[in-house]
Amino acid sequence: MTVDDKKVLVVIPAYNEHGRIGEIVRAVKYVLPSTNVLVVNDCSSDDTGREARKAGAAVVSHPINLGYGAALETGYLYALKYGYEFVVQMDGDGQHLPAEIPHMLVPVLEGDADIVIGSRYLSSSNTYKTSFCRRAGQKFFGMLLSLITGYKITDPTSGFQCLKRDAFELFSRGQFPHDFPDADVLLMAHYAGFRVKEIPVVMVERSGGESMHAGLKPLYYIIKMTLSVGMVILSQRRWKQYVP
Amino acid sequence: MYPKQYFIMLLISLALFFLIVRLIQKGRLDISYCWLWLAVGFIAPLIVIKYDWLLWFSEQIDVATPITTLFLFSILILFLMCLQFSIVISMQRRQIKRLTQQIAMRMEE
Repeated sequence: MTVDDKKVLVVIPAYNEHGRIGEIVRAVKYVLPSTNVLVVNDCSSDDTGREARKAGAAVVSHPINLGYGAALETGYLYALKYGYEFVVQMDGDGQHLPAEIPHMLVPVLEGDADIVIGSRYLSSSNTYKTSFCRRAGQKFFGMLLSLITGYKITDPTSGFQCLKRDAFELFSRGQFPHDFPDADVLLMAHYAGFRVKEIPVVMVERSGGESMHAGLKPLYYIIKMTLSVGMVILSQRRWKQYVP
Repeated sequence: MYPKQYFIMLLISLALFFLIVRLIQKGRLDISYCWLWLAVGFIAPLIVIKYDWLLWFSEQIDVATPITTLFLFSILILFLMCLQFSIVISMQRRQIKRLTQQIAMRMEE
């Protein structure tokens, strides 16, 4: 890598990921030995925080459960506070492979993109399975985003992303959704003038725990995201005026 | 309006008004969030005392019975109250989120 690893922060939001989080932190440290890893423990009821710390991560623990989006936002605030230039965000359930991080960093380091999304649907070697409901939502929002932005988005729900400082500064201004930050924030970023690029990544099934898209949540997700995307479109002038 | 009905309604509306004022005095109700309550507390006894005004208003908006006007405006006021509470809750949610994030980061230092 051509960047000082110390400028990169790997942010892992985690909720009840005991038994998995330590392994993930160690795997990230193995791939990028001098990169700092931050685990945002969203008020887990198990030993997630301690396990992450033991594995070598910095741990910020929310005293109350705020949601996945808010945990990511805490990671952005932390990165801003300590002067990091790039944030790589990945899930704490083992779906995202740390070995992909160097590939994710390339487009932002070379100046080709401000936000890089790891897409499981661009990779031919992917065995990742998803429910019909969730895939339909992903396709719908992917198509909608592609239509508005003009570039192809196949995996708008991917939490495996790499962001430049200006981009995560935008997301840490209090408007970041506390639950599902997906298509709406990508649209926000597009209107704010950031270049979004997808690259193929391999993702695997989560190795345990409960998905935040379990049960009836995909239905709620589709309704909420449709409203949220609509609101971003309506307030696009505000995002277009964004100055980092 | 019958005298008994008038008396009971006046008593209830005045009690409501004084309850709201008392809650504000004691600091249990923040004045920033209770302007609608105050309006209701003021208008309710006024309508009882000046019942003619309600009849006149109903006539102006082509409502046959004054009770319908009352229900219509009660629903409207309740709707506005819910909206006001939703705004306050949304604002407080954002504030709590930011406060929690700041506390969490301080604890990590």
